[in-house]
Amino acid sequence: MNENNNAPHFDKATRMRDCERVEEFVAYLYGEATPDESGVFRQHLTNCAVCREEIAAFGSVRDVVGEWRTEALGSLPSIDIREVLAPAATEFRRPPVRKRSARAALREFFTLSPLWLRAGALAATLVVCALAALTLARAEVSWNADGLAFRASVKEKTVVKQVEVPAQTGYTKEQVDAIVAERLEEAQAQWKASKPQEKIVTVSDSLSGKSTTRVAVARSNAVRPRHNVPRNPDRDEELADLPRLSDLLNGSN
Amino acid sequence: MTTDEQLVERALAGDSDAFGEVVRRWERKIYALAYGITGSVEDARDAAQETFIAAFRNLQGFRGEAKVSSWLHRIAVNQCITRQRRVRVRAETAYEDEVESAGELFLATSGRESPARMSESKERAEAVRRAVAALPPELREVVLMKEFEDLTFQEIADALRIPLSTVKSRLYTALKQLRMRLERFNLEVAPK
Repeated sequence: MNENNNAPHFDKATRMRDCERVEEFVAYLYGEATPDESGVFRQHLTNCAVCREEIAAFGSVRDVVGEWRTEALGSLPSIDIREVLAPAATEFRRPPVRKRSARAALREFFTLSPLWLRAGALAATLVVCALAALTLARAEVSWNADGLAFRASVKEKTVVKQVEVPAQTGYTKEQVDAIVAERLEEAQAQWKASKPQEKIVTVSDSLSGKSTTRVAVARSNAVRPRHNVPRNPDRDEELADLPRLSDLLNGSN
Repeated sequence: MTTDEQLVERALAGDSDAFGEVVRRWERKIYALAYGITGSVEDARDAAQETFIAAFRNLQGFRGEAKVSSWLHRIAVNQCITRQRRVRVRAETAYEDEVESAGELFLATSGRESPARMSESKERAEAVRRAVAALPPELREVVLMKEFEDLTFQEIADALRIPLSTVKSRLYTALKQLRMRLERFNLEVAPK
């Protein structure tokens, strides 16, 4: 080893290179430049002192690295990875099988399957494709007593959302039901106390001239006398005494 | 002659000897590369073993976009970096500390292996090893792939997944730093 403190660029490893042709320089140094590139760079070397000096210096670096390589490889003990890899030997005997692609699996299926199975698979595929196409086309297929029906371009059904308007009474539904039921019971009790039994109303049909008898049950104010039927004054009074449902509801509000 | 790529295909198809042939072809080079990176015979052997185990387990991941050699080198570099990181975190041995300050400590070292007792060639080899070990990892792996393995720029780019221009610039920087460190070790690397 020699003292060589006067060599140029000793402490300039990090400074910018004066010549910018680094890639061409490295390619030329390692012999990976094309013949044309080498020719051009050789021409450049005649004019560039920086590259000339570095080519020589880097060649020396490569020489000592090569010595180390020889020394290192020569001194390295031998190695037999296959022998050392004994724990993984079972893996070596059972190498992993590459996963098949879907296309490869299909190809194998169609190659190995019998003809009938291939035809069946093909038919099933066609049916699935047809159904998918019908779905996409918004067609409607129905089966009824008239047979198979087919309708294309079915419009989408529009579902209108029902909006529930809240009651404005100030009472809940349960409260209103309770009040109605209570008032009805009172009215019915009051009415039954005065006229407990059901009335039998006789109606004569004036249009036909025949005398017919009909039985009707007088219930609250739901039954109203016909205009052409003679009025029974007593019954009208009784009905007038009955409270109307609307009155009851208004009274409760 | 069967190519590495054909051997990998055969291994994937179930040929148990095919991958063994790949190992036989590359074990020595991967071992040397690992030694160059780690600087330790034991670590290099372990890293080489782990490289081939990892390669075998990931055979299905090999898509043939790069050469098998590039793929193996990439795995080896990753194994070495992982191993070194683990060792550095543990900081168990004084040897790693020595690698960290390789250049400055070279002449002052008088420990287990005195330079005076080594032959001159071994002395030089040790100086180069320390200089290489002191390089930043991204420069060290490039220079070792080129100088130890004699890979082309393109193979290095494939192995490290970096652009070709980056390989060249890193190689240039690595050589420049090596020159500076070796001159500091008083090795003759000036222009002849």
